[in-house]
Amino acid sequence: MRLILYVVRRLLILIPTLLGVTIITFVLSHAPGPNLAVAVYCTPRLGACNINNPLLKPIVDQFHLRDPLPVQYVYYLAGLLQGDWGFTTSAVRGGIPVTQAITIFFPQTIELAITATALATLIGIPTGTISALRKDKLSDHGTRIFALVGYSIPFFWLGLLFQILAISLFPEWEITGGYSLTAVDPATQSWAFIYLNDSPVPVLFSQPTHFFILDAAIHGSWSVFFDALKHLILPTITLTIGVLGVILRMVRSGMVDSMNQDYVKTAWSKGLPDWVVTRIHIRRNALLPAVTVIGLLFAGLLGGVVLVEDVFAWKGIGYWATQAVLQFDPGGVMGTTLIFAVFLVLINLIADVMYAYLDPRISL
Amino acid sequence: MGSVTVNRPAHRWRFDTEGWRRRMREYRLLLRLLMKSPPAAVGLIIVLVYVGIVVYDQFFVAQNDVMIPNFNDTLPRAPFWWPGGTAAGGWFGKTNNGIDLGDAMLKAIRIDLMYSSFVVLFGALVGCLIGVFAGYRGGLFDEVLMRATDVTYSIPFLVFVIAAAFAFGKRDFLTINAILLALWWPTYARLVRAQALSVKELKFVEAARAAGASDTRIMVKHVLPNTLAPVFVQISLDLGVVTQIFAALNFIGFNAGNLFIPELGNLIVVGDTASFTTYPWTVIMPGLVLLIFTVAVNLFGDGLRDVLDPRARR
Repeated sequence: MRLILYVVRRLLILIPTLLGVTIITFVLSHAPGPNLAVAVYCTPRLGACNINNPLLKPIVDQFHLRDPLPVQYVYYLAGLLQGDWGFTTSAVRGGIPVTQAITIFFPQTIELAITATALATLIGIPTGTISALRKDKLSDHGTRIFALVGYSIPFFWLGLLFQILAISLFPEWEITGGYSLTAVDPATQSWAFIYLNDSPVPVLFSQPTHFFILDAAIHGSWSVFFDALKHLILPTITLTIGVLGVILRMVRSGMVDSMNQDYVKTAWSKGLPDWVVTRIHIRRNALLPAVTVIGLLFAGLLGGVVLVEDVFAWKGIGYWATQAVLQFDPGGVMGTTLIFAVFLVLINLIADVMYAYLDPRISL
Repeated sequence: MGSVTVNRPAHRWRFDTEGWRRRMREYRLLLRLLMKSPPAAVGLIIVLVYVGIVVYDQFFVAQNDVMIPNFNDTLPRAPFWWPGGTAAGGWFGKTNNGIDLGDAMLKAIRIDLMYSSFVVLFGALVGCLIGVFAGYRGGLFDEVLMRATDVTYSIPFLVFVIAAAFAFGKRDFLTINAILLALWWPTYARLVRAQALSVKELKFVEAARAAGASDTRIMVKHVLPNTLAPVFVQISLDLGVVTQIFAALNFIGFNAGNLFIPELGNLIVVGDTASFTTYPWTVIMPGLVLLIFTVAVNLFGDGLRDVLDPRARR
């Protein structure tokens, strides 16, 4: 019951934060002048995205773009809540609504972020545990150096390095870059259909879940499935190494801290077996803060995703964001900023609630 | 009852020699403690080498804000120690457009470090002042500040910078730096606020208040100096982060439209466009320079944390 109250209170705190985020995106898109604001809602089919364009009068009227900024904000917010996030022209030929573009690009980013986080957690927790148990031994030093380099390394440079390595060592694998069209089954192509602006060949987005790998498995196109998996390798490793550094460091320090606690000494002196003490007494307590770090981690990860997607031509939100900037597409920029923020806020919420659930000592 | 005489120093704002001597002694002790841990010492030495390069560039290098192309010989050349490298490449090789990497990286270190330290130091200054005010005074200002920092934390940093630069319609270094600065102070504000909340309850603050010191004086002279230890640690760790973000922004195309600006991210782009799988050193060398700096800064920052803030030891 107290947990439910806590969740409700956390949700209430979320409202001012999200309002603040919308204020920021509003100021960024509307304060530089009405033309930028018009361009958010304008598609090239309507002609010049200019406030004086008579074809755009319905938009100007609907969002009150000639009124003072506070009035505009109210209508902007109403538009957001009604799913009217504007148009993006940078991602898909001819322009589509931002909300639709999000459903296309977001799954790709999630796919990358989740795979990287899962992999880093799976590797990081055992390795960090071993490192702490063998404190100041050679393997511990090795792990610490790896962690240090991991969180110091620039994502985009690491991605380029992996590409150099992959192309020069395994040229026949063709694992760099985004999904390739040649691997798609001709028979089942109907589940993937959208064209991107910059590519001469169609780049596929899939039905029904928009997660390419998942869809390939659903449709039973196994050649596509394995091809997609192959292209997931390098970006995932790149992101994983960065995230792994943080996880290793945190697990190790948590373990070292809790190894010096009195209850651990008691457990040892009771004569409990090694694995019981390390797994149940030390590690369980050491891993509690890990949950909150996941939230912080995601913030860093989403920043890194932008770069990694740029390097590997991965068609996710980060790719869309950079394209939107380079092709002057205000709708795209504001849409990506907003969706990144909403996602991050929700992840943080989940992390906080999980922490409260796992640690009964915390005062709700 | 006789009148009370107060002994006031004749010159209130005289330079406090004894205090400074004491402070220098503390710093020397700090340095000795820091040099006892080998990783921190290595980090400090590497950072000092980089700072030396910045100073050298600033005063002894001509044309230190432009990479010098050689259009007579535009192909990248490997460094002489690279497999298949020739003496024409020199120590660090040449990248696209016949730019000598050694020369370009030397200039790039200056630009990267100067801009990132400007952002971090200014951000720390602004953040500390706002944070100490919020922590000491509390109330509505504090509440608004916390919500505002929540908002800036809820947008991924790189995305935020991209969106802001887009809205301003400019991508020159000045704009980028102003945006980075506007987004960087909340970290410090939160850090100092949290410290100030505990410091303001301590006895010496009470004593200062009893002695009749004004709020401003207590904040600046008593509370602020005692909150600075984690700030120094954060500054040293942030230098690496901001340098990387700066390079990353240049990498994704925020290079002020000038491909000849010597900047590490920009250098990687220059190498990237020259078929980096054929000429890998054009990408590897600038990235390595960036990586070494970040690792050194992190080593130094960790060491500093161990010395200044033993409770937060990781």
